[in-house]
Amino acid sequence: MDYFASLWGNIVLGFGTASSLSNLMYCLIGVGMGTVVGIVPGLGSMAAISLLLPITFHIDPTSALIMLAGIWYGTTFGGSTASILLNLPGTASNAVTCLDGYPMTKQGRGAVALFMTTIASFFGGSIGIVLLMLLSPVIAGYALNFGSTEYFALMVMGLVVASSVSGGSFLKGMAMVLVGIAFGTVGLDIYTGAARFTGGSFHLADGIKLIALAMGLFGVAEIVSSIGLVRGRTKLPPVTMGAMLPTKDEARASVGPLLRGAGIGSFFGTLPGTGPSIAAFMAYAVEKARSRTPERFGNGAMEGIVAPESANNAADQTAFIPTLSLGIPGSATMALMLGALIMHGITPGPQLIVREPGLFWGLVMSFWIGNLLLLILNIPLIGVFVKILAVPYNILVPIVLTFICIGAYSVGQVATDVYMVLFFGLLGYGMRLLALPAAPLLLGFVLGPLMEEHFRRSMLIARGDAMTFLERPISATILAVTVAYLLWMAVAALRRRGQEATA
Amino acid sequence: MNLKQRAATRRTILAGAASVTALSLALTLSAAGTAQAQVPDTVTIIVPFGAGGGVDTVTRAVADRLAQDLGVTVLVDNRPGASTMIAQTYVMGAPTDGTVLLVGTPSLSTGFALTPEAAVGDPRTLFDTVTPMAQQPYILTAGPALPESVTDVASLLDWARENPGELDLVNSGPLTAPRLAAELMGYMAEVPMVTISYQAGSQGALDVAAGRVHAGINQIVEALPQIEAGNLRPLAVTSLNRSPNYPDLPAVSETLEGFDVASWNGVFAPAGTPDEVLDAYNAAFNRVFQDESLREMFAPAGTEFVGGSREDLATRLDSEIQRWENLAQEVDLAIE
Repeated sequence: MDYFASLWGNIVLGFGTASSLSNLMYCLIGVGMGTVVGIVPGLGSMAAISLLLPITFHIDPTSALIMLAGIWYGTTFGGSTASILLNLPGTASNAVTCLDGYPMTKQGRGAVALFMTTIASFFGGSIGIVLLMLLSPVIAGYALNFGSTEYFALMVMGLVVASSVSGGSFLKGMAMVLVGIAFGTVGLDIYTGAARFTGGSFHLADGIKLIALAMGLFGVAEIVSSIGLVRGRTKLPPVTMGAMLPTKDEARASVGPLLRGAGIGSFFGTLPGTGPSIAAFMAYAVEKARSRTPERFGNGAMEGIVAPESANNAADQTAFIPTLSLGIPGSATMALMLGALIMHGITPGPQLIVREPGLFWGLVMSFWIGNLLLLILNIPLIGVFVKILAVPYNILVPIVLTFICIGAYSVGQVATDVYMVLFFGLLGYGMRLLALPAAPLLLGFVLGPLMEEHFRRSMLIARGDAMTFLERPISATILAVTVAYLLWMAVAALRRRGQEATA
Repeated sequence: MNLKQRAATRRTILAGAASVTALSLALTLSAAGTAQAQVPDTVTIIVPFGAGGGVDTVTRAVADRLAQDLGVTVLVDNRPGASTMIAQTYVMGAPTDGTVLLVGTPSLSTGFALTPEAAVGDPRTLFDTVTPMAQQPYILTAGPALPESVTDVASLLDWARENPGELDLVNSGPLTAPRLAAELMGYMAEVPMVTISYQAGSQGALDVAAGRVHAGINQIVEALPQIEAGNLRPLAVTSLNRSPNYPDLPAVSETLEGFDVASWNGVFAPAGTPDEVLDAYNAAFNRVFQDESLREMFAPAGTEFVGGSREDLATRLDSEIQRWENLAQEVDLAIE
């Protein structure tokens, strides 16, 4: 009872802080800016937050964090728009949404896709916030148990489960995963400082930027391959409220993916360094693996957009758990927010919730307000967004390409990243011609360096004894589940083949 | 109102605004004394890290006050990446009239001393020194993987001697000062230890707190959350002297004589910048460092605004480069 009484007290305290007029305003600025930045391809929360950061030194830390956090989750919320309408991931964590979102647009169902991802984002975000409210200390405690061996096992599972993301040939998918891992090795080796595949140029020392790779492979490749295919404007059915709503069957079929997506997202969000991108991929892979009709994926399956969008928004919220209660920023953007706190003399860490209840609960309650604002902002805007497609191709494409270049440049203010987008655009086009899937490459690129980092660190700590992965209970369990999954897939494939043979 | 009239009105408004700015600028200029005779109207300080990091926030706070002191416009421009080499390259080629300054960090010395073939050049000849800015010690901590008897540097080294080859030390990257501090400590005490690199020092501090790694050398802000939660035992600071912000914490040098590694930053200018410009900046920066509000703002992170002469910074850079070059000759710094 005490627990609920104090929880209720905290909720009231937090809501009081979050609903003050100035904090409401900062929340609105944050989520509004996040939405814009999310919609514009390539511009990420990082750029927006670093722009606003100097302002935050002059305002109350709670307000500052409410605004910065609004940008952070608002970006993911809005990031699906360009994925769905233009096959351009607004942020890297929305790349998976391209796979089924864009086919839906081609089928004239873009408005439904946007509506459903908005709902999914809101739902996933809400689950994430509930967990943040109820379980922060518990989750922070179990995160302590995740060391490099556990991370490595998790990455292996991720790679195996998600290699099923691509449609078509399994071999082609695996080959693309390997190519992705190869691209991931570019840059300075984090253990020796040796330059790998940088061609002697220090511009590649920090490696290839994820957003450059994602935008090139998906967006630019799409633009290049559609040249000459699209003349004038695409024909679009008029968008009414009715056209936005899914069919009853689709709505019913979305409930499971929404819940599973939120669960997967919440889990990965709490692990620093993995975050929303991997969460989205895993959610997609799980839906595809569970589906009785996996062939629909990649051709506009509703589950293929709601699960990842629910997952990445849930991950966005739970990512605050390690940041605030362990002082470990899960991403560069989170590190900026930590910086803002430290500037105000507040040390994030296990003591934060106790010492700064007003800040913590104010922030958490502002997430509710922010998510509601996003819902209210986004649904009426769907009609506007869909009109983007009515813009003539010869006007839309140059604008979009310009934004892509600005976005790529804004990440690190170096021209190399813009060339990278071009390079991956051409590569992506070539891959399309050869029917090689882009998603596994992106996944290999994300997971490869993480796997290497954790594998080598585990081996360093264990002094080269590979048994460490089986001796530690959590990593042994994860690896066992992975093997079981592989076996299950193999049996299922054999059975299918058997059925086909008898049929 | 037709278009032409509207444009004309706008011009008048703009001109009005410009003259107001000019007036206020003139006022601040006359108030600022003689220093501005040497320094340009606008100066851009290049920060080699992204916005929001420790160096960036310190620089921005200093820049605000420098602008007031000199009565000029001070811009902060982030050019992160490639272990500060992107920023170095930018400043190397910048005009030598004092319009561009660089915030230098230990990366200047570690990069050149350890991987000279990959560095952009010798920082001692590429840049003129303006002033040392801030300094913060790294902190040596022990976690639950070490017995309770390890309470200071001496007992840590004893434990390492009794368990040869066992001690793991967390740091934030192979070419960073914390890593070299660990190697230097091992070399000076003649105790072997394994350094384990993390991309984020805070992740490393967590591994120490969780008992996966024995000890760590971290920035104070990275280790502070776990120290406050009682999961990490602070053993010492790595600077030559104790930190005035943490006077109870001994310095490693009290056990290993002369041990002195710190995270520092200093202001540099492209080589060839006139002496009177450098002197004017040096004086202005050092006035700013006396600002009490500035000092208080960064005290919790252990940051001290040391300031000093142009020569102080040159000496620091030179001695660090020599120290790391010597260490690299004595110890095999490559990690297999």
